[in-house]
Amino acid sequence: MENLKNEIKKLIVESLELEEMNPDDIGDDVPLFSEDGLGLDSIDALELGIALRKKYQLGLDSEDSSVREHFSSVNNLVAFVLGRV
Amino acid sequence: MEMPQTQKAQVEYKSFIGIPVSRWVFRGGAESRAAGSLGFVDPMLRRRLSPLAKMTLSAAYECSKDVPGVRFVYASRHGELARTTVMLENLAEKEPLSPTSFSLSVLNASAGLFSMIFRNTAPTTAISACKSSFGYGLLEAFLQFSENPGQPVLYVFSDEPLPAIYGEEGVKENASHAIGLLLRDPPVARIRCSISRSTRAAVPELQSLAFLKCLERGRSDWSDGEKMWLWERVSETNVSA
Repeated sequence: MENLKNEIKKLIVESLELEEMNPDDIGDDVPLFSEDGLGLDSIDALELGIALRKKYQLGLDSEDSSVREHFSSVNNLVAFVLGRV
Repeated sequence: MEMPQTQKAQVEYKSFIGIPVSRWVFRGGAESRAAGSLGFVDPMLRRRLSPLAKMTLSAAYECSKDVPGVRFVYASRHGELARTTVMLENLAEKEPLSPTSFSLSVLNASAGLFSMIFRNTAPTTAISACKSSFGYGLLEAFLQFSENPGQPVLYVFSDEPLPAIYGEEGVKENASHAIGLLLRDPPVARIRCSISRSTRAAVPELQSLAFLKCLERGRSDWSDGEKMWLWERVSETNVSA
């Protein structure tokens, strides 16, 4: 669980080329797609979706409204990956 | 009657007199890496810039940071081909494409980034014309300047060597570089550009680097085997980088 958390943080930093950030800098519950949090944008969402799909063979449906919730924080992504793998 | 030798040799198509260069910068090799900080770009945008876009924007900023709303002409022979090549490889392997790369792979990517970063809504133009991309880009910038000489025009050319998979004949010296010029009155150098039928074989030198010699020495020329380009300084003021 802790491993997966760190793995996903590393995936975020690397796939989104967050040059000035360490995986450890990302709080487990910090909002990823909000100006109050990481401030990622819609291109990041697509990019992250592709990285998750490649790494965990996740099937993502962009029409599914719950995807927004799954992507909102590291903790939610961990739960999402655990639930799907 | 015999034509004088010079007339036979020089069939001039067109010349453009008085390209007013008010400022110029070069980015290449060690200089382009040193300019990599790009503090004027928001870090969230900066992380997406390719090495080519970084050089381009660095040159653009240096030439026009105190000229808000400047018109911008950008030229490149290969543009963001490095990005496109990676995407083609992804397609061949049936992998999904990076949305970041996709959105920034077009020739005018740097021109679009320029307008976003500086909140500049003036027109921008992107030009590519094979080996003569630098020269035709400069003419486009000059023609736009001539339409409205009261307003400066920023011109940036940048290019990178082809990705190895294209197997072009070796990487040329300084092939990865950017040149920025600010066209504005009063200039520190006025350039006359003439294009004529070439009587020489193609030269291996890059056209953009041949042009730089004109700024440094007052005169330079370049040929692709069909057309001869000649640039001459027509006013005698010193130019410094």
